[in-house]
Amino acid sequence: MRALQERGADKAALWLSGSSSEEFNVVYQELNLLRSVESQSLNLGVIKDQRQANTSLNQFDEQSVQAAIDELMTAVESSNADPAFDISPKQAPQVFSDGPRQMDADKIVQRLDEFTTAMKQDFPDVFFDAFLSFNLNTSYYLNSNEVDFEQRTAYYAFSTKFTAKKDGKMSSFNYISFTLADLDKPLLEVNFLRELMRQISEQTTTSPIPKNFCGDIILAPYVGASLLYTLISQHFGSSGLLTDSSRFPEHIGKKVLDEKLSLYATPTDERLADKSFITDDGYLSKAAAIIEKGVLRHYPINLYTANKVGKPRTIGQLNQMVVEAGSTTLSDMIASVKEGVLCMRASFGSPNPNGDMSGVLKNSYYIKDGKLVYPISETMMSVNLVDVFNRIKNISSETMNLGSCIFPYIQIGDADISRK
Amino acid sequence: MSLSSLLPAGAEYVELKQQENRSQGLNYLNGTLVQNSNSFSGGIMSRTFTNGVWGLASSADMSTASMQKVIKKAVSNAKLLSRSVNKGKLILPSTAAQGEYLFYSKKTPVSTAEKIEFLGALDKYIADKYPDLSTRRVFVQQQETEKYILTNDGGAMHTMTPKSVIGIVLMLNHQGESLIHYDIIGGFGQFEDNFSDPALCFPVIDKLYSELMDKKDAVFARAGTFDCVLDAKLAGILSHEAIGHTTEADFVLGGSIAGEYLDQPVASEILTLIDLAHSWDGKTCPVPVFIDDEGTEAKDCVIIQDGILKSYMHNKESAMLLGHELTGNARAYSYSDEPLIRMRNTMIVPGKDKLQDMIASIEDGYYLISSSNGQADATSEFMFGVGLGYEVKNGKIGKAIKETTISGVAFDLLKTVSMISDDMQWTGSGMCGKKQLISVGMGGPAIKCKVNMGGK
Repeated sequence: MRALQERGADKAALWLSGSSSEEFNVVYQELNLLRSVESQSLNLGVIKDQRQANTSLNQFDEQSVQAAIDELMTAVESSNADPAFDISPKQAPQVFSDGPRQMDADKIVQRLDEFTTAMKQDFPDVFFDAFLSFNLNTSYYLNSNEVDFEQRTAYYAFSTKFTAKKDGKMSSFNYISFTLADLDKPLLEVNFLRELMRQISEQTTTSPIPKNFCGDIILAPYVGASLLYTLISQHFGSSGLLTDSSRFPEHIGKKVLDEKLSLYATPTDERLADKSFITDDGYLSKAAAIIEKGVLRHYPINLYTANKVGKPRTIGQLNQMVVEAGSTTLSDMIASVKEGVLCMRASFGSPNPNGDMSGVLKNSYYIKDGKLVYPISETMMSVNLVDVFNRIKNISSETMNLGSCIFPYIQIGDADISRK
Repeated sequence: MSLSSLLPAGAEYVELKQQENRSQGLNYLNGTLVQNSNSFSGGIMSRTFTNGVWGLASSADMSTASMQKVIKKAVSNAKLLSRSVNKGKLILPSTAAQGEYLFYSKKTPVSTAEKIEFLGALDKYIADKYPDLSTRRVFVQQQETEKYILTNDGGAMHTMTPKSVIGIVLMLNHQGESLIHYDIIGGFGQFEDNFSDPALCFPVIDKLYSELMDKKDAVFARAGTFDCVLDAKLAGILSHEAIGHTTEADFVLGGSIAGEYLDQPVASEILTLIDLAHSWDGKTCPVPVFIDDEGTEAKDCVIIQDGILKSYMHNKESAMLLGHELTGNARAYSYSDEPLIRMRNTMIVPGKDKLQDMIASIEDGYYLISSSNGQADATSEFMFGVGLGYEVKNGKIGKAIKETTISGVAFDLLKTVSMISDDMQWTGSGMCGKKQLISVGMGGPAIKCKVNMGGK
């Protein structure tokens, strides 16, 4: 920090981090690889005459760091000035620590052995790969306004991809990834994984929907979270505001989405395994409602965007989120659908700036008169992303905790659903 | 660096790697340089295969002492796993090769200041000529990957593979709607090799703007199945996503539908699809691989020949398990990553038809030009976003369509291919995200086929 200022930086900030990971991989349905990774990085950012540049490196010998500083100070001279560039203001030093103190390697092997054994026994038609890792990270953020933060985080991460094959027919693949603070429960009993395996086993035989229709879609948590995150990024986050493509550029305090929806930024929520105590732009993280009963409370934007578009920076960018659960069970939701689809996975393209998008409904079920009828094939939805979250009929009481996000099932109406 | 002295004696199979990834990003948004960044990430890795399982260890510390520590850790990782899964001694196949392939530019280096000036010229051209745009963005991304790899079966390589691209994004507010269009140019090579004069990029900008204007009158595509011409970029992504992934041997072993189709017809007999190692028609491909990350000689893999599925792409383990020949498709992104089976340069071989004739042959369908993203399934069911496309009626190009999605089962779609254009085009900016992000080349001609359109 001192070197950067001596070289002429008006303002400077740095992130220093070190991490280690032990990753146990199941490949072709058996333990196959143990991967140990030790990594480190140093990211340096400077502002000089309101011009900015940054560099990152992972070699910390004096020569490498000096060369990086030389390159950085040359690069910043070539930038152009923008009064919006800034660093976070002085804040009291803080140290945070979260997660398991150390890896329980025996438990990892036990849980993976148990998972592979149960999969082969209970779901013999399912092909799967998986990994379970322990990840430890220590980061420091410092800047020339005397900000000095440290955070140590640790968690387990699990991911599996699976498909079923029976009598020469096969299902689409499905997958799930989540982080955990401990390994107290068998993996198959976390986040409806056993139910997903049961579903994939019966998805080797699928049928098209009888005809195109306009109806309900029940979005599984994984799908709904992905769609809502895309919507927030495009219309309430930096990309939408900086490119003047947000449909809601001046909407604090206004109703923007369905009143059943409440979305919270929850960077340090005790229920989450993967927390953030420090924001990317050098502030202490804080919890807040972004959307409260459909009303916009905060734009989740960083300091640069806030300065650039003339808004206050309040909570920074969205990393962890929780959508408030509803009171309807999934089975009651299904029972309420006259004609629709239970969408367990969707493969979709980026919505255009207006939110129009279409996608393929994968691992999904046709619903008729309140009952799941059969798994479907080659079915597409055409929706507008803003409309999706303005046409919420029900939000489930069941939720999925992915470690950085907690999300329920969401039932929407008036979606165009078409067959091949 | 001399790695050979560090190879442990008596091991079944061992890799040692030292790798550096260097990148630069410059990004103008509406005239402000919002990104001016450099990145360096280097380190060492050792991977060993013992009793049918792998141990891997890596570190950012590239000293000899660290390498010895990493080798020891990799061996102990394999031993730890083999206590749970011991398959006995298995012999991995080998077609080890040695070589040095360094693609440093021979031209005068361009400084960061000069690159910024280059981008500034593009930004100014757009701002001056097209003041009606609501947003303009131009950016440079350059990546260089340098690797030394040594294997105890005789593989040895030193490579430096560069890639540099310029992206141009134009946005327009029109009657309350935001319209967007973009393109990425460049690919294999350092900045000096790909970009010499900003003026050479002006026609790309003019074309982009013209196509963006077409979107002002865009209509929704109709949902259903139509005769379509997929232009080269879309045909390339189809080859990669929908066919390529299903024929990666790790996917085959994981249950991919292509496992059922070897030596069977899977496409129209006019179609041949290849994953090229490094060259085509005497020219270097966007992602040249001469030796893969397991020290294996990289060979072209003819996946589909005249409509018949002929082979899968392999690393050492999958070739051993299926008893097939090695193809040299094992690649890793960063120093700490394990090599996975990855495509290199996937292309449909050009045919004999003219693009104009292909469009003229469509009575009621679409001409689909650019893709926004793509995903595919082990069943070969795919979904691609279409960023730019046009209606075709009675053989004539009509109105632009709004962004949409196309989908289908690739092995079914390929059976409907009735025409293939005689030209070809590479997309060298592609990144594939199978566990690790990695550069891939996608190319080919335009194809005419039946496509399931998402729409109203």
